[in-house]
Amino acid sequence: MAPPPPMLMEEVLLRFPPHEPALLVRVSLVCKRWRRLVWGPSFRRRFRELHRTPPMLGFACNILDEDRMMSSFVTSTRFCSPDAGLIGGYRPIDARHGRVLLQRFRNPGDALVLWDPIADERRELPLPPRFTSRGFLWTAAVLCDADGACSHLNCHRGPFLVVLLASGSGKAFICTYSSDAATWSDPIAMEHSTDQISHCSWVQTLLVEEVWP
Amino acid sequence: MEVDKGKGEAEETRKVAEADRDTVTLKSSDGKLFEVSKEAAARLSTVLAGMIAGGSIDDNGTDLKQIGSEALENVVDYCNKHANSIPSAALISSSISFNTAPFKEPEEWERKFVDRLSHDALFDLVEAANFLGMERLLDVTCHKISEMMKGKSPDQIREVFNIKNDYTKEELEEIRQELAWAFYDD
Repeated sequence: MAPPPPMLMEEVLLRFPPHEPALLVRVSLVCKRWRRLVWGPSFRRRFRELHRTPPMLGFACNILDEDRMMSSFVTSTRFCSPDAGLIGGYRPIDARHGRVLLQRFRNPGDALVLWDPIADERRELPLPPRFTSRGFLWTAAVLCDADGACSHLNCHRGPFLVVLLASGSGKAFICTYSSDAATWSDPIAMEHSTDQISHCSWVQTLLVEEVWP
Repeated sequence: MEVDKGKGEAEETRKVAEADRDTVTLKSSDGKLFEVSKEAAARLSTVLAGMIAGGSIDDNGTDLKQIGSEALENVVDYCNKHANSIPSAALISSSISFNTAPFKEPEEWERKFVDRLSHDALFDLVEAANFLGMERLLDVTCHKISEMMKGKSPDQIREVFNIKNDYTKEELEEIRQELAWAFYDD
């Protein structure tokens, strides 16, 4: 039988199921033309646009094991980045729009680290001035900082914001890190008593789209 | 436009099309005429919608020189079967604007519709759907081809689709090692 029309092969490959990424990798071994198609940036953009809802490929979790905090990336489908299972020494704080915010609490020292689990790329962020992760009760959120309305389908390499909420020494404050400026904003003191946010480390962050400017 | 007067059936189709303005008549590359619901054609094909809106529909049969009669018959069959289903615009609910509706798994009747086609007819239908800007039919036909590849090794896919392997053994081995997680079953 005749091969599928070459011009339309991209349309066929776009309809592969997003929750089974191994299938696309396997068909890219059929011929070089298919490999170039599947691995090209325009294919990835169109694939995300067509399927819209990203598949759940895995989750990061914190496990308390005999008083030691262990972190792990658990794959929920046949997908694994090179050393995704190994995030020892890190604690996931938040995840949104293709980025995972980790706290590194071991060597070479305290830091916030932004992790792209698909490419397994890590980027270390400085801590805000006069902030130590052990001296405060705190939590943080990461979110896309792209201009205008973003579909969040292909923004994981674009600009981002980290929002940090902390309380300690009788004070509570919030500050933001912008990847564009590569610095933290000045802390904004909060009127809430520190008691009111003392449990913030245990609370999952929530993004309220309409409120965010 | 000249219609082949020798073809009684085609002439009959033309008369029906003229009498009933709810339909449009399409003409395949080999001159056969097909009648399709105007509403379904406009809803399912961006190209036909543009032609209907622009008044470039020919009552004697709108020429579609790129599409053979077998593929056009399948296109028309699909449109007519789809005529009573939910408008595709209703599928778009996001506030972010996209060029296309999100992909949805084919429905049972759509699966049956493509399952009965030979490989060649299926590929011709993909080309026709692409030419006519029929996003949903493209979803259904391309999804069917993607399912034909599922569970097959690259060797088996090359065999089924008659594709030449242009990789060297070393290149294949390198990719397999780099992305070993995708090849656990082999």
